[in-house]
Amino acid sequence: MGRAAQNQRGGSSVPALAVLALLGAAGVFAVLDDGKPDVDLTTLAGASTFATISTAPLDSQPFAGTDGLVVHPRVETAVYSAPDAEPFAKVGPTQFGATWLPVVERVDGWVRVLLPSKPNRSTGWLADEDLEHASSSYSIRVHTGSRTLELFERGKRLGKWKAGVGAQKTPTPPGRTFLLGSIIDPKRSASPVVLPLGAHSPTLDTFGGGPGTVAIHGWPRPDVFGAAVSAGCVRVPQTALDRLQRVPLGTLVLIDSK
Amino acid sequence: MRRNIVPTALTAAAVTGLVALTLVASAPAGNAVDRPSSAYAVGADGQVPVEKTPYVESRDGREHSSSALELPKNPLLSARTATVTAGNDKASVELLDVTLGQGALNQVKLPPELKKSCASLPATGADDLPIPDLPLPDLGLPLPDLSTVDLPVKNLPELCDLLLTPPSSILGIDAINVWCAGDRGGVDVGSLTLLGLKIQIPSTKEGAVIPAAPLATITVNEQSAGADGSFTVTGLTINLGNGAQVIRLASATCAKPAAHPKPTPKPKPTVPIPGTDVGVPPAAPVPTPVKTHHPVTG
Repeated sequence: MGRAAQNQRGGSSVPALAVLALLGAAGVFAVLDDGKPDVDLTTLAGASTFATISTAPLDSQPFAGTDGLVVHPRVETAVYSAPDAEPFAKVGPTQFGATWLPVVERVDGWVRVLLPSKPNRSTGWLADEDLEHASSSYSIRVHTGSRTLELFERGKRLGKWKAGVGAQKTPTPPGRTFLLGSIIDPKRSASPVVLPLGAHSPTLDTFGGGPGTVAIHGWPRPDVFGAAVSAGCVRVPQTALDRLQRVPLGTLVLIDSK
Repeated sequence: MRRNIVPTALTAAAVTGLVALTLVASAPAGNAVDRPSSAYAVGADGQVPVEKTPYVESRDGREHSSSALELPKNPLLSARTATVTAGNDKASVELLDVTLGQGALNQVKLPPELKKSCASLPATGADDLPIPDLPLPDLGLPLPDLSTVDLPVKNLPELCDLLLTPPSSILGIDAINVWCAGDRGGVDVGSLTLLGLKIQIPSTKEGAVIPAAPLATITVNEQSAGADGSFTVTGLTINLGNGAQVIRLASATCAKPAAHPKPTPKPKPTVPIPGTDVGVPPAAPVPTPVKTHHPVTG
């Protein structure tokens, strides 16, 4: 109305306007910043079957099942020791074929996955952005005591086969792991298809020039099925392998000594 | 009293702003359950895997767009340009000039008996001559063993024509446009050329199949609902060799961004995808074995 009124309004509204302006600016930053610091992936070790990453947190429930959720990183992704903690490794979109890792735990915006690197039972957390989600309704159980392998779909058992497992000195490692890949190795004549797992021999650091990856595969002679003679691998008859080849990567393989 | 209302109002706005900002800041960045709207132009699984490209998604409802088409060098699939857009419960794809199997048929040599038959076609009545059943050589593509009767030709003269002057590619599509908004979507496909012959798309109705078997099964306008209420429409799904290679062209997914309350999944009366339940993500893919050497512990 008069200058006095205007001044009074102007005077007491400046602090409020300033707060709004600050909030506005902060609001913009809040939307732009995804909350995670930019990670320099070049300094991180890649988690693959060839790597040993001793700082990986270990699986706290190595004999539990999962709900079948598997994830595929579309790009190289940092692996963290805990949500919002420090990254200690990275994982890329391919291992043997596409990378699919089983999810063993979830919190808002993060998933914990089993890693294919050494030592056995390595896990890590991935930020749940740029991850493709899928579900495997299968699970595989290997029993080193009865020397059998079972395949389940949606909880129903599709088959149970005699399996060859690791010998006493070179055992098949107990605990949960997963189907890491499906390969046809031209240098092997013993089995057309080999399914490398996310686990390694606990006693052999290297084998045949490789890092000691444990796998499921076939064998030309049936006398090994049901015997503990391998260097860690799980040998199954062709009928089992025919079924197992159609199981998605990332599917849980639970190895126990029953 | 009137003099005090405006500053009070401004202060109230500032306080509300602060509260709102706190709420926004504490919203999880990337909810594991909610899927954002997304779109990609080309993706494939199988012997020649292709990461979805270009790929764009909108987690916050703001519109994102990309034309960064990056196909790996491969003998099977090429595309000229693509633009993908994803926003607030809407997405779209424009994909131009896709070619499948460029130059694949140039390698096919005519078996000598067929060469003789083609060279000595009679002046009249040739159209009634049947197609001989001769095996075709491996085209170097993930296709089952084919013979000449599998080719889409009506008679011997057409077969001779096809093999003597092979088309430049197996399949060519000049444009695919796909869009979705909320839980609706549509597809517009330009002209399709199969083995050099322009073929009519029987319909772009949801789930229509273009008959080109056994070379390929091409499904148009595949639509599906996600467990989280998202809706996906894919322009063309090309299935080669019964699953050995599946190529998806122009796929758009619509979903409400994470900040909004999660929509309850609406029951969809059409296109049930085998293996998906309400409440689980899509079925994980069956792996295609990779030829490589890796020593495992026997």
